[in-house]
Amino acid sequence: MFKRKIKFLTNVFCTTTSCMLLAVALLTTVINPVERVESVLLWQIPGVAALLTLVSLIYPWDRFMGKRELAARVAFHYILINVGVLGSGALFDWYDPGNPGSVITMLITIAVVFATVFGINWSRSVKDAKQMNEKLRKYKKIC
Amino acid sequence: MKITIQDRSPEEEDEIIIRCRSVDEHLLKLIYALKAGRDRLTVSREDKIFQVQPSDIFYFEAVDNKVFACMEKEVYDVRYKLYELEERLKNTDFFRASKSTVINLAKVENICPAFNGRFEVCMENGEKLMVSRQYVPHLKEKLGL
Repeated sequence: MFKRKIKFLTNVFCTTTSCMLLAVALLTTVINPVERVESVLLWQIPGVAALLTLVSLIYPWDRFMGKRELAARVAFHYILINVGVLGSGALFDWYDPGNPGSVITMLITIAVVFATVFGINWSRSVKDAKQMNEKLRKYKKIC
Repeated sequence: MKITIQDRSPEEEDEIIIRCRSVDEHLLKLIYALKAGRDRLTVSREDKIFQVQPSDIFYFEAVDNKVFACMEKEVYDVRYKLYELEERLKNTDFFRASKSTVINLAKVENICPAFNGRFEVCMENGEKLMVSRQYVPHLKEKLGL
């Protein structure tokens, strides 16, 4: 079970890091172009991604959640991500907390990254389910 | 496939010998069916005891330290623990789907994705059950993925 958890966390970490990297690239070149980016950012991105990956452990691993619990946990997850990114961002000078426009840009970026990670995971599950249904049909034919 | 039935002496035990080049998926299913077919399960309902074929059971569910065998419509009490059933039905169509359920794959109609790496299985009787993230690899393994 420990192995599976590590595998799951590694997947979340890789997806989150990739999406954060894309978001930073878009922010620093298209949305709010800057002349140069500090190299320390290369450590900050995976560092924050690792923190956000740990937050994904708020979902129970081996028991079911009702719709209400699930909705509550997703909302709590989203709040924790916002707190984590805005907190780290303020610490690392990614944005100006005193500037509402800068905060809104960060909030939109977080929402886009969250939705993208969610979408990628969902499409993986859909693909898995499709494969399993194909195998299930073959399995039942043999039965 | 050639089938040969031989007479045996009264003191001998019934025996099935499979002679094959390799054990493929089809043959494996046949072996599971043979094993499961002879192994009836004792269940009870309203103080009456019944013997049922495991293949007729849709799933087992543990609720408040009690284990129930759910058939197409009826529900029976089972005196085994869920892990004992899992062990006993190891080489059959059953697989562990969560801490509280063991599902008969042969009675699964289809599989749908659910949030957070879990899957929902729709049974042939219309019931819906969850496969928790922890046990998804068991299901995939059972299906040969």
